[in-house]
Amino acid sequence: MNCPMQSHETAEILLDYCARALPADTLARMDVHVAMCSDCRQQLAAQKMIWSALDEFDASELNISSDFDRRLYARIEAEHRDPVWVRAWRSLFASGQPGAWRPAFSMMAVAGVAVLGLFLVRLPDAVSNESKSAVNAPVAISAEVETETPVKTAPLKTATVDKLDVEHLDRALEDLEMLQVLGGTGNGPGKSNAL
Amino acid sequence: MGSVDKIPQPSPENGVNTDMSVAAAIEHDAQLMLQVRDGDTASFGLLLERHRVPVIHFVYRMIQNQAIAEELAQEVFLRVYRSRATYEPTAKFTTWLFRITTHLALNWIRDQKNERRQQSLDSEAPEGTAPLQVADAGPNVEQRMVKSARMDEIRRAIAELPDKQRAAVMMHKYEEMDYQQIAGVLSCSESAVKSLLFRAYESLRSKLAHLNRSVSE
Repeated sequence: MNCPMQSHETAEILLDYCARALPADTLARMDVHVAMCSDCRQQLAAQKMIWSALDEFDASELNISSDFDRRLYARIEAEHRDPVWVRAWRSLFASGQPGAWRPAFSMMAVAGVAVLGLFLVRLPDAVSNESKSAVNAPVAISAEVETETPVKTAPLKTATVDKLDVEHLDRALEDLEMLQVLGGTGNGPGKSNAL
Repeated sequence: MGSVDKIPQPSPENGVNTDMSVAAAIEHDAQLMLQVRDGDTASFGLLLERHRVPVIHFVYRMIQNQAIAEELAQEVFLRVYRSRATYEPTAKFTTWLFRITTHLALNWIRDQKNERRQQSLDSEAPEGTAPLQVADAGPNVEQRMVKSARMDEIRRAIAELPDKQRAAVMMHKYEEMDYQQIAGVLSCSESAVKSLLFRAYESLRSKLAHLNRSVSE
């Protein structure tokens, strides 16, 4: 038998030999080899030491919580009350198998790139439309003002005109009175002259 | 897995043995999982009963904190239950189960490392570990202290292993998985697993060599 220490490829045999996890015939051949090979004996002793040290790291002393199952079932019950799409989303990532959701993820990525591409293609058009609309904006606004002004300002204008007319009338009447007074005084001599 | 022999046989009343030829071809755990997929929640209870302890122990050895180990184990079984509808027995059930378990444990360790890095806290305990829980097994204080110190050394050496090496050692040593199964869990080749284990044990040998000397002295 070749020495396992001479090749990394067969080094695991020593691990299995230490764990006595080899087939009986291989185990017997290893027994013979280890008896003759000091390198293997040394390696084996070190491995056994590690093995026994790891044995000391015993998790069986753990006292698992008595309500472990109850808590788990409560969480399952709580999840049953979630909406269907939430459960579907969770189950997509639950298995821990990347292969299970990779195709879906790839398709989503492709769809995302397509949407982005479409957006970028349409962006110049959108920008030009926007600039056009920006250029046309004052016209539109002025047109809007033109169309809206009569409607909005009409009552105001009427009121103003009415107010002005009354003032004009008042002034006109005052002017007439003044003219009469002036005419009276002015025409007095004239009138008197005519008389 | 140690408890494989104690497989509860599903009852015909549950509509289980519908296709014996298929059922005989797949392992019992996978069969139970297929029953869960078909709506048999009792089978999920059996799976939980069979794998609860190995999963919690595995996570505990990985992160060395019982409360978090239980929390992560709950998440493992929750994910198993969630994915029942899409479950296909393409691999051994335990390979799939431990893939989920390892994934969650490694993610937790990574998150802890990131958190610690952000907080820049100096801690005497190694990363991703919590104060050791040691049972009162020794007959006197001195023996307990010796055991505690020794356990602390071992625990520290394990915690200092790179995450994947640590997971590989845990599966190889404690779950007694073969290289093929470990490769399935870690999604790598068998030769990569052998290399991981070889380096991990080399590292442990160098770190724990003094324990051997102290014992022989």
